[in-house]
Amino acid sequence: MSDDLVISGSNSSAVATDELFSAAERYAAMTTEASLLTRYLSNLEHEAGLQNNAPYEAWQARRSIAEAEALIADVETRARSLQGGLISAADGYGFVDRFIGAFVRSIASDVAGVLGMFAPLNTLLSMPLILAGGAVAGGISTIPGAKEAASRFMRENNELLTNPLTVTIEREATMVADDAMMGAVGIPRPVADLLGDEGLGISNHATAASGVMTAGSIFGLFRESPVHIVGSKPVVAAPPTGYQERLGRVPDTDETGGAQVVIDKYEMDGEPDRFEVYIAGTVTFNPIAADEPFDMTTNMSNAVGPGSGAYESVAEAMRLAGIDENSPVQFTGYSQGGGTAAQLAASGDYNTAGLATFGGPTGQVAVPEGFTTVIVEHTDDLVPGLGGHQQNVHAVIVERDVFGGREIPTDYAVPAHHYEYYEETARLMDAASSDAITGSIDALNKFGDGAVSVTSTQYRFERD
Amino acid sequence: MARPEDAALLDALEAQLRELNYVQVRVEAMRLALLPQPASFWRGAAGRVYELERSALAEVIARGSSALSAATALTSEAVERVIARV
Repeated sequence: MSDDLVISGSNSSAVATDELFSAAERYAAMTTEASLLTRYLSNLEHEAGLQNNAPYEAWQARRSIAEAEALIADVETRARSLQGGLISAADGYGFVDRFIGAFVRSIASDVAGVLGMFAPLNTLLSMPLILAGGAVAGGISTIPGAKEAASRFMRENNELLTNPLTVTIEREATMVADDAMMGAVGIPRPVADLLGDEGLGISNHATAASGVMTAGSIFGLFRESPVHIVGSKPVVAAPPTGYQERLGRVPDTDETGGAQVVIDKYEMDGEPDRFEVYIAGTVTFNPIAADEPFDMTTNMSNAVGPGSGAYESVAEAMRLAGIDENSPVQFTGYSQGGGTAAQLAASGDYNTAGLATFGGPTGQVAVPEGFTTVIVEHTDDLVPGLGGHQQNVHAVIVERDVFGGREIPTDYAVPAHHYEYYEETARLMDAASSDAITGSIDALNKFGDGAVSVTSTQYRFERD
Repeated sequence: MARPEDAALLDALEAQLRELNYVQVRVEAMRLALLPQPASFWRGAAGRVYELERSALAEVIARGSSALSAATALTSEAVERVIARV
């Protein structure tokens, strides 16, 4: 199961594996081809116009042609039936998936609201406690050996964190955090329902993130700040030709001297320059904002909306690269970089032509339609779950249960989020054959067609 | 040299031979490129039913291809027989 790619989105209700969609597409093509060949054989049979002087073998051949025609017509019928069956199965799975999801969301929202209503003090107290816990954890991290021991414990007991059910619960918790907050401050359930995601959408997971940031700022956590560039340098590059190469272009700050953004400029003959923007993931998990803008503060800030330290860093890098509102641009990001990429594409400030995110919390970022968007998420990875429900159903959404049916390694606390497993997924996507996956990479690759030169530049930013 | 009254028949049979070869190539290409391999996306009874249907389709394609081969061989023999007439 762990190599299966599950595809959904594309404004379709169907949810199925790449293998199933690929098989359905083949049967569809076979239906068309068999229909064409049947008509061809029918014409051949009737146009032969055998005369009385035709030898016996010619009449026998005519009977064989009629037999072949009937068999190829049967192929058409059977292929159409198989294709219909597969698509119905995918639609049925998608329907059940959405039905159960809506049911669980409704229950979770009510439960969160009621819990908040009946325990306002606990709810309000829990936030400083959590934050205090974070501060204590931060303090423990200064004790020699304690951080390593805690890290080892997390790595050796990572089964619970690397579980699709945990991620589903986390997505629901993310989505209903605002309901709990509204319950805690005494807003009646009907009003909360009206204000919430399923109502007017005034209160949503961004509201909850904003509340956490506000509460955290009292304790010195999650305080946003302006950013400035500390360096840029040109590097040699070629346009990526597949998902794996595209993900590989996302900067690893350990290898780029801390540079978090890479921008490739494609000079076009007689057309405006085009740009590929690659955005790194979280560099530091310290909740207290220091120099590094690709930090936990950005993770929280991205959940609220545009304007995080990482967002402003990429926007500034784009300005320095010469990107304006008319320049065609494609975004690719991993982890936090995926969330930032989605925010930039959704901002409307750029002429976005494509977006690819790997393991990013993108669910509640309203990415507009009109360009190729590919969202890759591991169902046993907690990070995409932090983005809440995936609302971008127009995008090609590729999911994979990385450790379904295989042993979870103890190298990392959250292995399903690790880069090497997304690289593995990207490799599987390059080998996939369904139209959704192959069509998307063709569209993303086409962006660089006709470039007369490619210039790549790395940018490094710090907070003020 | 075929008899004058067989010339039209010979032209028709030779054209039929070319067309049959063309269709045969396309059927073989369809089998190779479009017939899915045994699937792993369904298990249990659903998987067995699907595999039965997929195998039946493969069998029908094979029979269609055989019928075309027979038609081609018979047409070829018919051409030779007409040419042989004196």
